[in-house]
Amino acid sequence: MVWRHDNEMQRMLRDSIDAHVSANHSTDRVRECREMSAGFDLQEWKSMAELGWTGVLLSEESGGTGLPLSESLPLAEVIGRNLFPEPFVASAIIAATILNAAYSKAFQVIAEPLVDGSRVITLAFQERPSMKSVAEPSVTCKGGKLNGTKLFVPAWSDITDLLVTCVLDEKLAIVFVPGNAEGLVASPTKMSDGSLMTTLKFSGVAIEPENILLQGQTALDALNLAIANGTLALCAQMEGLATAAFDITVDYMKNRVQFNQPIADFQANRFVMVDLNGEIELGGASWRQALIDLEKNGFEAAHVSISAAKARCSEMVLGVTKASIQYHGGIGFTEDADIGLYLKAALRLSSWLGGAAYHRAAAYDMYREGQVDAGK
Amino acid sequence: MLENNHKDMSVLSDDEFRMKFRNWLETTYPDEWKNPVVFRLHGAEETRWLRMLYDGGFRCPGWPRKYGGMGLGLRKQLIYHEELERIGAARNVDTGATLLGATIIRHGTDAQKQKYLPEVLNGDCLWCQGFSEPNAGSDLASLKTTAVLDGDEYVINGTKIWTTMAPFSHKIFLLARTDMNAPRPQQGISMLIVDDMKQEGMIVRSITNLNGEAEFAQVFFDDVRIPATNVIYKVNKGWDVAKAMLGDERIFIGSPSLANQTFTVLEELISQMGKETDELFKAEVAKAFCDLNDLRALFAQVCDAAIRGVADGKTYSTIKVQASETFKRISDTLINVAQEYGASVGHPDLDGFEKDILAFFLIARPSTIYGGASEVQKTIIARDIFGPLAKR
Ligand SMILES: Cc1cc2nc3c(=O)[nH]c(=O)nc-3n(C[C@H](O)[C@H](O)[C@H](O)COP(=O)(O)OP(=O)(O)OC[C@H]3O[C@@H](n4cnc5c(N)ncnc54)[C@H](O)[C@@H]3O)c2cc1C
Repeated sequence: MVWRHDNEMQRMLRDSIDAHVSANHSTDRVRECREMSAGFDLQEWKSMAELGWTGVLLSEESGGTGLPLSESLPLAEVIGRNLFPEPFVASAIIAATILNAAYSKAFQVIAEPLVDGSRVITLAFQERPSMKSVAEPSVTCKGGKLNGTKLFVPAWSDITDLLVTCVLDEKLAIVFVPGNAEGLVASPTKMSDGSLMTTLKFSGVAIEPENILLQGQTALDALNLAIANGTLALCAQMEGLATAAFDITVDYMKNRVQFNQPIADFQANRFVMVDLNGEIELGGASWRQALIDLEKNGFEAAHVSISAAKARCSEMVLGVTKASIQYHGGIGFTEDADIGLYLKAALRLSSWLGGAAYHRAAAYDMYREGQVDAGK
Repeated sequence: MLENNHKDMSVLSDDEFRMKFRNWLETTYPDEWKNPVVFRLHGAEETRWLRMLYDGGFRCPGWPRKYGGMGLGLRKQLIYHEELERIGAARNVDTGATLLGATIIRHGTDAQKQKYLPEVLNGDCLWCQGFSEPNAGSDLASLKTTAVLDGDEYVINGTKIWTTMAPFSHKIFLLARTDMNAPRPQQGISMLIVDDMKQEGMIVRSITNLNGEAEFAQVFFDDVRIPATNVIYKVNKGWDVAKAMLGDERIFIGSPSLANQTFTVLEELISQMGKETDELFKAEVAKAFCDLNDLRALFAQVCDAAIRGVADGKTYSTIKVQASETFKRISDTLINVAQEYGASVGHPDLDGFEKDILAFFLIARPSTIYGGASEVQKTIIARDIFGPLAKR
């Protein structure tokens, strides 16, 4: 993995995160968070804000740091490696990307509480188990009232506010909805990693004109970019998670002795781990190239490589964590063993924003459409 | 005397260099060698192509200029290979430049440089590599060919096998045991040069491969005499030289170009068979597409690391395994999608489709065997991950 390379800014960021993690974080905390109502710690969210993490991507005009995505992703990687349950990708990457596109209106009211960690913001856009046609929601905003249902909304909590995609005047729009709005009913489901995935039902929720953040093409562009950014951030998070599970398992295999030798000495086991290491390398390379593509050529050009990256990383993180359980033997199947936490987090991250099968097909379809458009 | 007299292209910008080489290729590269179903140039054809490169000033991109090469950094070397791929150039092994030449430049004497480099440059001399033996393949250090000093000559006895292009080569470099009493098998091996493949005691028996080509051979040495000065680097240090033979250029064995070519043929086949939307194969083709995409990504990242000088052995082994395994998998997909046509000898009986898909499939097979079998590469990677085995 020598080819992974931080620049100055990324290294500084990574150092600051590592310091915070070793002082404040452990798998015990991960377990405690699983018992909390939101599945994460509102207090820790505030500490992360103090360190500048929640505003990392938000433009400086909105009080954030305004780093480019590439320089923010070491955070996602460390968050994955340490199983942080706080909704970094959902809020600080995805929602922040939308806010950046709408900053003139959203500025103080919405962005500032995200920067200071007093609120969490999340984007509600999905209405079915697929990432297809997310730009054509059935939720409507008519006569100042929002109606319809959103599925799979992450980061729901007592302090969460919403950005919601809907159709307004026959065009895509993104509106702001406070979490305590009247007419909003939230039904959260507990997920394998302890986080919540929430169904939101809007029944005539009042939308003030100033809370209509984006409309038409700008809404569409912001949505696409938010999903692209979020998908790559998830990839970075999955790489971090997989690397951690891999290292823990290698360590275990070196120390566990059966048949008078460490189980790490059996060639069959070594080769499985080598193959998985190859998958981590491919995943890491895939999302990094997709990121270069995105920052250089924009999300339309980068769709193919982003989907390929998500497909690889989703499959890779599951592959690594499943093998991790296998090589831990019986202890791997216990509630007490930390390695299980990695598998459960992997399950959640790999399926969120589309799993491997979906994205492989999507990458190939979009590639073919591109070929047709180019007249090939 | 060896100095390259052509203009120094290392000072051009990357784009200028790319366009210069592209233009040259477009005007010079012979049409009959483009996108060959036969993959490689042999013998006189290879000599002709090397000579064209030489005359055009595009020979030996990685060699320093003072030895007649182009003196290009890794980034421009990559561009060089990309442009060859773009024009659909036939591959050639060019063992003389990539292995022998690079090693002579690093470890050879002045006399060896004067003698061997010019004829590699102008294509007059083709080389082959005699490392593997019938009983020493992956475990190369167990090799048994001997070279015994007799006055100022070495006398070589033994046999080498799978020697690529031996039937077309003029010279061979080989590993032979020069100290029979060395404590470890890796010690007591020297790297030697035989100046004439046709000299007394040499027999080359070509071997037909699974794809029907007689590219490699078994080479027999029966009291073959060579001057004692035909040792590369030091006597009994041949193992060290062999290990370091491929420097940065190791990266090219991880190039996605074969996987890429195969995918292009897969696309043609799919469209020829009208199977663009066939659900039966869609997932498999999508997987091939993503595999290729990610291999390219890994190659790009590893190249960047190599250019920064930080790529390590594990990384090179990883990219070698990934490139060859991906090439094989995509060729498997090609055969699967072709259904009944998959086993056709020559190109399948499909209107206007002239690609020999069976050849792609067959030629992909040994990619995980030569240059260090996948299992051997994985053993190297595993040692890096886990450390050495606890027992032993
Ligand atoms: C097309 C082609 C061109 C070649 N060109 C040349 C050339 O120009 N010059 C030259 O010197 N050689 C050449 N070779 C030889 C090549 O380097 C050897 O084939 C290779 O090193 C493997 O050796 P082997 O064939 O004896 O197989 P073996 O060493 O007998 O291995 C057979 C198989 O056993 C498995 N295996 C081996 N070791 C291990 C291990 N440690 N753990 C697990 N599994 C293992 C692998 O699957 C391997 O494929 C060429 C080979 C091919 C196929």
